[in-house]
Amino acid sequence: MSILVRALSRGVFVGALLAGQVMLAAEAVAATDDYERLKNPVAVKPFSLVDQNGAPFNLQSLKNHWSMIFVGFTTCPDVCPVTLGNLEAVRAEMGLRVSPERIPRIIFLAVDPARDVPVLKEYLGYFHPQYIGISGEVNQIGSLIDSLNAFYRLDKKHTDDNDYDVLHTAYVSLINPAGEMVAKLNPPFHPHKTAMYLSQLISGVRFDD
Amino acid sequence: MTRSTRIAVSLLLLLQSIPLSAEQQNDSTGSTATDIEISEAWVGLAPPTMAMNAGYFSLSNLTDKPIELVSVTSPAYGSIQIHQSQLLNGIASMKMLPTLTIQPHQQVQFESGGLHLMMRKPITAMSLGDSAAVQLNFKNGTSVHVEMPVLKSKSRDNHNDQHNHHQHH
Repeated sequence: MSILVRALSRGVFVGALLAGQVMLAAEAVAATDDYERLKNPVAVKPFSLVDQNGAPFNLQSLKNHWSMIFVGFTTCPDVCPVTLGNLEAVRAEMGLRVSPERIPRIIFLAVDPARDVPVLKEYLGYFHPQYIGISGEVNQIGSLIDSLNAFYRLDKKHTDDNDYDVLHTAYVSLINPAGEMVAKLNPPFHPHKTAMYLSQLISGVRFDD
Repeated sequence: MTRSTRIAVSLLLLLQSIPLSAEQQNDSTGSTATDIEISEAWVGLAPPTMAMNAGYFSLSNLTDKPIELVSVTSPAYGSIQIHQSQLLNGIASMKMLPTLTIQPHQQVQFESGGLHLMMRKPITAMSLGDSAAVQLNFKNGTSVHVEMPVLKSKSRDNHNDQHNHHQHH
């Protein structure tokens, strides 16, 4: 895409190729919808973060609940709001299929604390009051990111850049009540399909608390 | 799609050097360079913490020549850029496109997860029921006006509303 745009800016006629590639790029984002159950659950390592109310949130906080952790940032205009909206629709649909205590909580891991922490509570309240948002020290964010086999990078163009994009893993990590990652859910998180997948997976797992 | 449902966008020929006759303006049959169709335009309602919105629409080039979208402006926003969300190897990121070329008789979708308008610095916070008057400016001097209503999401229900809305323009 970038090559094509550069070519255009030089006035090079690219022909029908461009329109085709633009559409392919859009479809590539929109068309993938798959779920990857890990062969072996991966235990989340200890971490120490803070939720949107200032309360500690750590490995113990993940225990005894199913959770979906989504890596994002609060100044993300396009993908993050849509994802958060879809995940709430997933929860609503799961309510018809599994008991309430088995419906995963939605945990938004905000990886841009300088911009995220001051607004996290208001941001998540806009989507759903039950959403949990966590953030904190960079090394602690990094620890949880490592456990999820995830990635993020603040794409600052220079040190004073305050208008930067944040690159981040697009999948949602499913965490079981033992604090282990058991599956990756890839976008676009179609509410019905995702709810069906999760309900089936979660119904087949028993935990003795 | 019938001609009457086309977005009869108000067209401005910004290049003063090219006179535009009334006859040309009213010529709805021709594949003139001004045949550009915008539909399903909307602005995503954003959390109150965000001083930006994402804008979406469908853009059709009904002409026989490529057209190049070079800028987007609105009195409701401090700046608007063409952005593209992309997913590469499972990593979500965003890039700015300086311009966007639409080939003859091609349609380009602006939609979540792909192309979108990055609308920054709203002059006043945009709420449900508001709409933004947006102008798309093309390299050939054509400008297209479109009213973009603020919606929480693109649904079937409000799809019809949008379409009707645009016929008035």
